[in-house]
Amino acid sequence: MHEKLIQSLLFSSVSIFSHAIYAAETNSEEIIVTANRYSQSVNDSLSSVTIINRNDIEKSSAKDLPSLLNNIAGFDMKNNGPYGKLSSVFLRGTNSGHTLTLVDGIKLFSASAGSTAFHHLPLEQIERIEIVRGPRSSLYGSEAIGGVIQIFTRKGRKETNISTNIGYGSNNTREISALFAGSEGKANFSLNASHSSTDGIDAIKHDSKNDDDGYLSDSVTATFGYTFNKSISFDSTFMNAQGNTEYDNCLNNTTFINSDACDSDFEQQVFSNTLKFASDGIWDGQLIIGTSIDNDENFWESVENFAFETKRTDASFINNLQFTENQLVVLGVDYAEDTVDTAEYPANTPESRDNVAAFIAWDSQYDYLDVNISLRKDDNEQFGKHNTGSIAFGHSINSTLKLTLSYGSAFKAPTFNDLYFPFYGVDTLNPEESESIEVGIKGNHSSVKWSLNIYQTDIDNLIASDPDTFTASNINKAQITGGEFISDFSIAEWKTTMSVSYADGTNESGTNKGKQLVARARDTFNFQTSRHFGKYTFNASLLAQGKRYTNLDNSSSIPGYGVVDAGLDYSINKHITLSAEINNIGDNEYVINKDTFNGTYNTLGRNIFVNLRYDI
Amino acid sequence: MKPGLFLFIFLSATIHVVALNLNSDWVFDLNKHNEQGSSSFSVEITHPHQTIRKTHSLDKKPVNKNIIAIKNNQTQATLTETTVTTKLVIDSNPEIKTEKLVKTKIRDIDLPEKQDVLDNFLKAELNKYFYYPKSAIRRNWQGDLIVSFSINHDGKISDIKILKSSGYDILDLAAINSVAKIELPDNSLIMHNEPTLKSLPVSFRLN
Repeated sequence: MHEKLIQSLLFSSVSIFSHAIYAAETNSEEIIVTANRYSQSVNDSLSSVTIINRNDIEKSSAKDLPSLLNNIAGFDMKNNGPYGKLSSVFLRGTNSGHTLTLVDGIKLFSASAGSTAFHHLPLEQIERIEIVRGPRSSLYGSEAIGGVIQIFTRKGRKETNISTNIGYGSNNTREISALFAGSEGKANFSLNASHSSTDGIDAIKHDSKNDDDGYLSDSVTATFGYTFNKSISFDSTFMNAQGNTEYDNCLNNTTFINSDACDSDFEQQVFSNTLKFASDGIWDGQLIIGTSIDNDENFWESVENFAFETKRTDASFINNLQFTENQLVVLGVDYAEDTVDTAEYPANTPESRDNVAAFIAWDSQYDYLDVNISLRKDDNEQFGKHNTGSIAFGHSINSTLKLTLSYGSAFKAPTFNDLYFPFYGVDTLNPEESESIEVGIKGNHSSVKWSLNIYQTDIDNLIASDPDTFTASNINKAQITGGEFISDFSIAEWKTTMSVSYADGTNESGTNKGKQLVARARDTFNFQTSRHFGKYTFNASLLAQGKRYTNLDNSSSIPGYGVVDAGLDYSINKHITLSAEINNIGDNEYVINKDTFNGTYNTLGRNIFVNLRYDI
Repeated sequence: MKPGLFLFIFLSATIHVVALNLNSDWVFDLNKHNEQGSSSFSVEITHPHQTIRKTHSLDKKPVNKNIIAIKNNQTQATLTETTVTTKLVIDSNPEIKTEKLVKTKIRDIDLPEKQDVLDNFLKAELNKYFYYPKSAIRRNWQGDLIVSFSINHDGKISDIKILKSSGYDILDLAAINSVAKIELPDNSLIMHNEPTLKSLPVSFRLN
């Protein structure tokens, strides 16, 4: 009413309509930060992106991050058994170390292994995940060949928010967590603590001996934010997860005797500080400084076998210059230092290496064409300078259809293991390099959203063991041709997401030239649907994957499989929700990982989980 | 200190200085653009009707951001006439606070159906042109505002004003620019000989 009154006041002598006011027009946008290193509308992004928010995580039947990602188009994964065992996540058919993982803007990975321990990042600590498919090295540097995953830790709602959660399920799996969030004036804060444990199942299939391989994880996230004024704000987050995982078939470092009594103490930590600033003019930007830790201490029959402690320090300073609404220039500088502490490397091994990089991006929009260009120069203490670039075009055919075309180069720095591991490492290795091209079309209709992207990625200088010297060498090449079709739609109130992913990766060098890359399935189909029935919410999902090869000459393979999960939520009142899930309803026996040394890794049969959530 | 860290700090400082220099150069232009496009956030698309201009007693005051509270409103409606009593607190200058009690009579001579058609048309048009300014997205700027405009008897939009500011000039300007793009195909939706006035609350929200 107020608006009308003001209006009638201001124009009192003019006749007006009695109900000249609409309901508020809301101009709300879904935002992605990761694609171009600044907040932008998902519709403006020229990349293939997926956003997983807290609701999606709670709705999903996935109990760990690798499984959650495996339900997203373009992803594939393998693990050494369920519940916190070593997992590899593949994006767009690339290697597990070819995806950059950021947590609150800070890179989280093991500098020794070169990949991220997704299996140790508790879903309870995750608020939102942004996924960008395709190369991003010209903005982020090393690792961003297959894409970028950015995880944002739990923050709760800004108004006072208390959420507690208690759950129990198959294999004596227990979960308990509590979150408290609030704000006071210009400050906001949150604290989230979680504990989970399970007896697990036997990680490796055996004919004779059986032992359950359990998992235990304690984690906490604390956040603090302060908005000084509309121009300056500060955010700090701290996440720590630690625990223990039991696994099978470890080799004693000195006696070389096998055992199934193996376990490892792990710790994952991210500390991120962001200062955002904006002027009333064309300039704004942010300064991010933080550290991350990936620690892993392994025991053979309770005797310490080997340990790696890696630490990452990141500092980024990004300046955005919005010359006009349609012309943006981004200038950025990144500093990174990786430190590895282990007794495994020879005595004279460097403890750390640093990397300084500068990048420039120019994002412009014209009447019928969007152009994003970025160039980046990395200067690495170990391998020296490396340049990357990318260019992307977007063309809106009409208000619902958009075409994209892009090219990007990317690289991955050699890991500390590649460089310094005894009898394998070579300290003069060059980075692995890639070039990708991609075409995409997306449709944004009122009831259906869909996208189709087709890409080809050529990777050169891949590091592998040289057959003559058995040491690391930049000898391999690979080519991946693939695509994803993703659609979101509703049929009779069933909210549905469906995706088809195809990633045909082949070896392009050596004796196995023309053979499929190992461990990844070429074909993946995902289907997820949910619907509210009053106080009940029903959801179901299907994951089906094709055959995958387990050795380089493609002489052995694992057949495809399909798994159906279903869940039901019951809202007892507006604060309490009871939910029950049955995963792998058909109790299908399937395999996603095996090798000649370890044999076949187990997967979960039919299992249930019941959860009670209290939320105010 | 590692040479890499030193290089990072040096490059950061350089980029910062460049960015700030460019910023100060361009701020002026952006303001000038505001002035040209909209003095105190009202855009005149066509020449306002002569009779209206005379009667806009409050129009000449810079109305954006000034109206902070409205109290004691009463509405009595009949089929054809509505009387509105309003106390308006105007805070155009922090030192001078004005309170005004205004009684207004509004004639409503149009058929509601016809108005619905117009409203729906305007809504569709606005949805077409609304945009969220990219720099506001990046800065996480959100807000609610009220924009008003009049539709002249020839179907042209004029007198676009911000009645309540979002607190951010960029968002206010985006709303004005969107409204300015509205085009009525002809004047068949308008019955008056006098301009039709509309006001529209707009929320800018980021998910």
